[in-house]
Amino acid sequence: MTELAEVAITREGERSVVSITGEVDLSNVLELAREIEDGVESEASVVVLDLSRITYLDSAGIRFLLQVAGRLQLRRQEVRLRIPPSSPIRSTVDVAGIAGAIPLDEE
Amino acid sequence: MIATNRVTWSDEMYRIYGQPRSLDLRLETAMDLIYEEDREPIRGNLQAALAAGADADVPLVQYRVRRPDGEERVLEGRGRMIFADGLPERIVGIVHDITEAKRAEREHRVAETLQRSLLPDGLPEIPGISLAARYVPATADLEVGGDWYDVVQLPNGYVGAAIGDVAGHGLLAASIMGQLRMALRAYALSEESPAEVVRRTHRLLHRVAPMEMATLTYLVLNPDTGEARFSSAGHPPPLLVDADGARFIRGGLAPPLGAILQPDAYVEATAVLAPGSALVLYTDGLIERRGVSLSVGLDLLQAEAAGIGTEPEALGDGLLEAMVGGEVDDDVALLIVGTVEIGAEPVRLTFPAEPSVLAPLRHFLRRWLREAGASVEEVHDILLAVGEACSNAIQHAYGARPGTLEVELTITDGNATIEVTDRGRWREAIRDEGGHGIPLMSRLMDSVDVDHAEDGTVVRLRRTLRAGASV
Repeated sequence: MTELAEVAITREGERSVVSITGEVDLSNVLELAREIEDGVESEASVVVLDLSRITYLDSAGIRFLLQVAGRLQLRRQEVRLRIPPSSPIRSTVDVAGIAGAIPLDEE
Repeated sequence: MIATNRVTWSDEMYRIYGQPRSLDLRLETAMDLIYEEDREPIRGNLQAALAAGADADVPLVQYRVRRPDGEERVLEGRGRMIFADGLPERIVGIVHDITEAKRAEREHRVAETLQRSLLPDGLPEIPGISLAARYVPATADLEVGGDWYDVVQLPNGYVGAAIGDVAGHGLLAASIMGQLRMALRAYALSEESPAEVVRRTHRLLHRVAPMEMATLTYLVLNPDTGEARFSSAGHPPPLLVDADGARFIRGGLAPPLGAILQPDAYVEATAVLAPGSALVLYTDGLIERRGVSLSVGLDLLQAEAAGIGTEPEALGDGLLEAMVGGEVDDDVALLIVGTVEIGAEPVRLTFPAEPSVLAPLRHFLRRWLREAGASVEEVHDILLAVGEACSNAIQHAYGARPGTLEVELTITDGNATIEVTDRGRWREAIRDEGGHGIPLMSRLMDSVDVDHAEDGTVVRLRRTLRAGASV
């Protein structure tokens, strides 16, 4: 596919794991948000946003993460972020102080 | 004979008019067969010839007649008024049936209009890529062909470029061209592999017009590495022009679209465009001359391109001038894809303020910074900071109106300076949505200066490269 980023959603028991691969910027945030909100089953009590395979994330991407997390929380789903310390987007996430808003997934 | 008012027709005239030989032919009868609105010019010509008082030409005139079966024919006639003893004696004339020629001319015009309307209005502006295209229709009595080109900006920041030629001429070729072009655009957006895009286009042609054939080259350029993957269906080879001269890129070749039904026939080859080089895609009208072998045309193209250099617009003008004379036997389409040179001079890029330019801009910056010796981390940080500055301008500078962005890149003594300029009025002075953009830029760069002026905003980003690199 020639998309800038792709979303894969898998079920791990009670958890729904949303894995995003590629680059996230102003051009694809709306589409990604819709894909995730439509794709995550409402039965999952925990949604893990796995950012390990994101290679580029700007502040539009940060807003996107916060908005998606906010809407999933409205659906009474608990949201966690998975992001390895070595990730190139770690500094962006740190600057934005996202960890204060969305807990990290420590598994 | 004027005195007797008799008109004598050859057999051919009866056939043209669709009239029986038993027709009572007098001047009035002959005039009655002509469309009413077309009679006046003929009468006028006859009057003028009569008034001459001596032998005189009756000038050429076009007129229409309706046959008894209702069919309209377009005729062209001229004659000569012959005088005897100072009095008009008779008129002799010749008539040609030009109905078919008229029809062909009209179809040629329609096809050419259709052809032009099916070609792209303009080429996209893509950071780091320069594009030029030319299209010259065949001249004179020859019919318009099915040549086409297209450039597709792919969502991942890659660039798809296509050139093709539908066999045959006229309306059918032009309309097939339109269908192939639209289908290819759609396939390009969902398929990464050029061979797969070509294969699907082949299948489409086979389905919509099983008897037709077309040639096609489709390539996908990664602006980051300059790597161009391409697949060709019976199309002449792309010509790579760079600092070393010009050479054809062979390979990736399979038979034309529509010719075969082997799905795995389409293959790929790769060419690498160094910064400051150009790939010339063209249709066979550029290299084919009547009575001259194809290899002569190819050799000439190669030699001419090498002498022109790598600037796409200059290549477009220069190649047309050198290869195409006044008379164009066959349509000519040219598409030139160039990569922006990376050198000591500052690079200035201008492109539309649209989110879709962000990915290609990153591709170009990545390449430019790597050439300058920046580390992986520095590349990432600068990319992100420039991306933030551009995103801000895209969102705030122009409101809903279209606008442009300029990015200027300079590296001197290991200091990278990037200026992002817009010509808009910010709806509010830096309303940094969510508040993440400016802190992020400040953390990534050594300095961030924002100048708001009446006529636009400049964001100046600076960072010293650790390796002390310079271009």
